[in-house]
Amino acid sequence: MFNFRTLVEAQDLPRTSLTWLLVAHAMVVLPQFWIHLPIWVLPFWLVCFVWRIQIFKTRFNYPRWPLKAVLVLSLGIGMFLAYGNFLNPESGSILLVATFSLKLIESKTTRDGWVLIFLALALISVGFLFETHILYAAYNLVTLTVITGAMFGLQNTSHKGNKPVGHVKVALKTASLLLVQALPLMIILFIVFPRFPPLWQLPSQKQSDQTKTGLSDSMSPGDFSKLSQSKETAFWADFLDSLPTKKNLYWRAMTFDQFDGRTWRASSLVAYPTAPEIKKQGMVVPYRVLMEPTQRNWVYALDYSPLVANPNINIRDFQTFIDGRIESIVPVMEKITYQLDSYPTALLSPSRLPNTILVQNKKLPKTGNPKAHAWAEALVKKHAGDPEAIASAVWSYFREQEFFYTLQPPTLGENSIDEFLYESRRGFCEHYSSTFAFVMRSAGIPTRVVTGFQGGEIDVPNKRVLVRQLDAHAWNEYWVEGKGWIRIDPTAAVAPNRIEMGLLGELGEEQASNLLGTDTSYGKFKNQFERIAGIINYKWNITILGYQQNTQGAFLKGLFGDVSWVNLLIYTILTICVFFFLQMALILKPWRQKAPKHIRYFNALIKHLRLFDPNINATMTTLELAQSSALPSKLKPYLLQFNAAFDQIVYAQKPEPAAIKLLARSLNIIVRIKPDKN
Amino acid sequence: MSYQDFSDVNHPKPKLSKWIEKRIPKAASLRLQQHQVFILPSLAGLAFLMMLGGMLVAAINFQNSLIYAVTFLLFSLFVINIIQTWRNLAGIHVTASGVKPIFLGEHAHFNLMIEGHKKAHHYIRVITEYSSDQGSSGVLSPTGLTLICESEARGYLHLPRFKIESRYPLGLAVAWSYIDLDQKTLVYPYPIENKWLDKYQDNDVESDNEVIFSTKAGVDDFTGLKPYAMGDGVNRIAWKALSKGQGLLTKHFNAQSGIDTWLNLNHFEGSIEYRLSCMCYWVLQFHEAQRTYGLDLGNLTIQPSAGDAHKNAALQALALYGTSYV
Repeated sequence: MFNFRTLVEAQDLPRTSLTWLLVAHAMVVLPQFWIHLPIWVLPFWLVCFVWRIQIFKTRFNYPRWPLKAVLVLSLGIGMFLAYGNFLNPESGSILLVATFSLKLIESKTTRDGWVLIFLALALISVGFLFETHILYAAYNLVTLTVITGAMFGLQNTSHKGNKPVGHVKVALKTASLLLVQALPLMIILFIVFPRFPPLWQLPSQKQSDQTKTGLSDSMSPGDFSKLSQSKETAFWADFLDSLPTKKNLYWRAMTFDQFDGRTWRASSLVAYPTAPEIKKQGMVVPYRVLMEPTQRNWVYALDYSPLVANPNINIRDFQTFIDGRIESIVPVMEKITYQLDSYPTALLSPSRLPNTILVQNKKLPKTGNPKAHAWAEALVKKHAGDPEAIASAVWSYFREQEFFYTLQPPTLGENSIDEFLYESRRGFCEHYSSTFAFVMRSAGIPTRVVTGFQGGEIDVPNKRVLVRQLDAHAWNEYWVEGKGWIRIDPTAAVAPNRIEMGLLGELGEEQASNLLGTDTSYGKFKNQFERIAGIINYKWNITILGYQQNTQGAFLKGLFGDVSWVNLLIYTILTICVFFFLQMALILKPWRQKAPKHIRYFNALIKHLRLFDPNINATMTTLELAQSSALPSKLKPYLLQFNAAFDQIVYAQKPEPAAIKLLARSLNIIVRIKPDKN
Repeated sequence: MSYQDFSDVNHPKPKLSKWIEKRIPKAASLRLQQHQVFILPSLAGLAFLMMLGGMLVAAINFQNSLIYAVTFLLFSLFVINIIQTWRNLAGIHVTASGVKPIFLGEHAHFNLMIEGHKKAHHYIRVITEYSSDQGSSGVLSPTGLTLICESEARGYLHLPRFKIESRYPLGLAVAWSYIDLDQKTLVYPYPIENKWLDKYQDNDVESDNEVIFSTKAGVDDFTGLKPYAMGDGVNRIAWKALSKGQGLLTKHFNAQSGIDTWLNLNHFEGSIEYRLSCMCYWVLQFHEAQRTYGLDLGNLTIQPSAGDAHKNAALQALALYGTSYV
């Protein structure tokens, strides 16, 4: 009896399952084309999908190897033409979709059905790597329900009896019910399961895709004006105490201290990994940032934020450098949140800076821009080398002369600084900061360019700032001994509105509404809708997507106090067990398993009477039992009593409570009468 | 050919089967209780868990909250499914609903019913080495399933302990149990056509209790009508009387006076099995011709008679000859 050969030969894929598998297949694959899959894969997928439907309708046959070979070959050719090689991160997901589609054509048995289900789950995961929007997540919830329905449908359908009508619908209904039951445990696990750091380093993504991510490793004229076209979100900031005004919102990302005549870059000295000296003074402004992934290491910090361990947030993933910058140790591949304290009026490196750094910040290319050099020399003479006076003079020059702040600055030639200062006088923040730094350095004052963001869209009641890519900015810092790096923003001299009110304020209402699309009433409505959607999206990002190590640590500490890895793991296992038993109880409802009392008494009676006559079984009525000749006569009066009480309970309109008691009493007496041992 | 009781052949692991016997005793009708239902993840379920492991690694490595969410949702779905699969099988009532005797070489159809008293049971499968069947039952609405057994020897054919399992709803876990419904059926010897009768017909020998069987038709005398009794041949009913409103009456004829047809084991030649098969053939012939006949098997004698009950007794005697059940 234990040597069963499994009789379950490969059964054919049942129709219900195939229906839902096809739906799930389409639901999983189609959004991928929008998210990351190149469009030339679409015909390939379409061929496989339609073919399988035709097989389903028994119009086509399963493809034989020539067609499959053609499909695979065409896919290979497509990949080669698009990428030039096969070893590519993108090719991974293309191969996955290809496998999924090819398997669909080949699917015949239930085993194939399972493979398709697993491939669908893998594709959903891949999809989430590229897109995490709340709508996409909700959509995938529906897709998961369909996949679960397909799993349900894999039960062999060739059977007798109570086959539910409309089996296809039942599959989906059952799947939904099961998923709803699974939600509580999932939520608990999501909260409690420890978030480990990545197990291995990922190969770095393409470095070339700069325009998408915003700021870049270098600054050349024209960079920032390109960025100004992008309404994309760079990050959100929540202020936990006081909300600074827009003109005080300088978000530092990178510093550039090396100029080659046209482009500013960061030298290796900038990455000196000692903590900058930040002399705290004045008020403290605590804030929390939720930033979009940049695939880079920089992190936005409000001047000036020392990197200290905050009791709320785990900061071991960050490091700070001597230039006052904060970076993430691993590239920011996913949305992250972090909390810092800013001291806006603190001093940055007020006492001595290492000489190498001072020298670096005065370096200029040996040739070029003679007029600017001359001017700098004149300024030094005029103000006796006083850094602050010289800075003020340059700044005033920008303000008093006819300089313009424009999104479409003219291109500059070889002596870009001279051309800008004396000829074009039209530029964006990068021109002004670059020129300022040049002149200051020429005057012998250590000056550098700081890039990051300035301002943002302030939501006053919620104390929240939304910073977009178009808020990217470049400004300057010059160093004075005793006072440290002093911030100066030459753009403010030319376009004060840009600083006070943001780029949109500076451009004037007409240009601004044009940029935002609010110049029509439909645009206004759309903007309002987008604003609400933005708030929802923000909440989604902060609570769910941003739930990584540091936020989890803070949240759980709030609930349980200090937790270590071990404790967390124990909590996870404990909650799984607790929920398992809870679910079991809710599903099995053991409190409802008990039959009504009179039935239980009857069963007990049968069980006892079997000792006298093994033929007695539950199909006999109480009257038959009472009249049975197989039972000793001394039982008879009690059996009749039992019978009367039982009938009363079962057949009367209103069973009397006394009947149950009588039933119990009779049963007790009967049970005491045991058969004689023969 | 062995005469042995069929169930003796199927106990390769005595200890385990004793444990099962004790836990789930034989019964013609039983209800699977909690301690009698076993559950484990199926092969698909294990593959599913491995898949989830891979997704978890991806979630950890890419620090992606949504992949974590999907992994956890599917894991809890797996946990819920285990409970539901177990619940689908536990509490099911299985009752044997009859089996007909067969001739050697045929297949026995053991019928059983599954029923749920408090809930429906879906996609229940019963499996033996040789056959399987699947069905669903509603609340208090039973479904019939059939298990087929081959017959290898004559005698009693027992329905072995079979496996009852379910993978509802998602196929990620299997709940199963082993049930023995204590059902057996008779396997009669396979009737082999033979010319025994002709041999004896040509002999005019008349000895005590020997047979002279005349094939001449129409010799019998009509003795009258009697009320129909169970077992009387349908072709003997007086239909005309019935149509006149006189009720079911059977025409009775005198059996050939003084001559009883006896089937004696010793009057046949060949191996025991062959002889039994030949006798079986004649039992069937005589029964169809409504003749009386008797059976002499040495240790067992059945007095001459006719009718269905007599035929069944005769076939049973033939089936069980030489076994321990005689």
